[in-house]
Amino acid sequence: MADPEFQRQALEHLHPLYNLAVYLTRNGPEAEDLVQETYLRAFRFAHRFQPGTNLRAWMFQILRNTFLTFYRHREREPAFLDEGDLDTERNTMFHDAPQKDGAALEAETDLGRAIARLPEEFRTILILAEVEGLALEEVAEIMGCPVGTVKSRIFRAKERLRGFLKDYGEEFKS
Amino acid sequence: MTPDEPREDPGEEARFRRLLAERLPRHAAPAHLRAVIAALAAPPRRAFWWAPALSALATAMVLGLVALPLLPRTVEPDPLRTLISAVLSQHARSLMWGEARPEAVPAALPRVMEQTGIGLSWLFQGDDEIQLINAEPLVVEGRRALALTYKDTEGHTLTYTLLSWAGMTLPKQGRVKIDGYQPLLTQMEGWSIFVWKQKDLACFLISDLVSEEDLARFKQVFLKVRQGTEPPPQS
Repeated sequence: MADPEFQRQALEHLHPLYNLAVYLTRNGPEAEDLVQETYLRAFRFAHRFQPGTNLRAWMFQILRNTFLTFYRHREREPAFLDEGDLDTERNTMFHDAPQKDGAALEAETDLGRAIARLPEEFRTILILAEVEGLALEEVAEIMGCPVGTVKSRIFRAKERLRGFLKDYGEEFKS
Repeated sequence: MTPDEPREDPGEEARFRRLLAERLPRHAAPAHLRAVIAALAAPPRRAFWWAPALSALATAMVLGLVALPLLPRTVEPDPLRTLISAVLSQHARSLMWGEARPEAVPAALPRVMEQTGIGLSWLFQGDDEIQLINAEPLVVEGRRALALTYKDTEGHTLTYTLLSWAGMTLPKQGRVKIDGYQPLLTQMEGWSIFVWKQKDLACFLISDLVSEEDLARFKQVFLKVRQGTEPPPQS
């Protein structure tokens, strides 16, 4: 098992990992299971992590691989959840952002639904790069693809997102 | 950026980034999840050497309790009940193969008493309603016994068995009061049985008088037998 210092550092990334897990699984309990499994693996294989390298990227990589291995097949199950049903109103209880008016909450709901409609590789890249603020190099490391691919996927993800938001009658608003 | 990479309006990109950062919900991990993961990371508690032994012992005890009713019982049988069963067997044997020799009984009694070691000063030798038809020595559960057989006018056979058993105790339950006496009245295998203790003698009177009406008659026979029997004074 991992040493206490490794465990402490790994736990610093709990919230971002859980956030991504929610967007991947679209289900709170599933997200918890996914994060637990991620940490279990990280602690078990802590000896493979090279100190001084990017622990955050390593943890995200484990989470995504675990999701692809164990959870992704459920995404194909239509009965799993209605498309894009993020139950964002309930989850805003845990939201870091300040309280907003009803219209803004509705826009968040549409935005959440739109994100959920993206393919996994677009969704993950968008969350990592635009929400968590990871550098493109980190995202590329996590996704196991070149930085240029990350950029093009971000671009296409945004394009799709714009289209989805129009479906909901939303526009990008500054 | 290479020429084939997608290009985006910087202003548009900035607005979009701000939209995502500000308006996309960020889900914070519930507190209990941190606790669960911290528990995952905690080293397993050192197992004490006795933990598996204790577990095995507890399992064995539970299995023992479950299997206890199925194990063969080695409980000491009730000696009185055992003796009653033996006396009943002798009564059944007497019914099937016993001889009716009322004329020979008076002459045979001294010899039988001597053989059994049960000497009686008096014993009930019958009347108009019931007749003593046999007297013989027996061994019942390893004890020498004297068996007297009676037959009433209706053909019912009764066996009166006496054996030395100073330590016999009778339960209070099942006693009946008959003219100052308190014998135990019980029924077993279709027979009615009076059991009582007279000095150092254990006495058993058996009959097939089991109905309520017959039991009244059986009680009268008991009285005759009980009052007509007198062991010798204890030395």
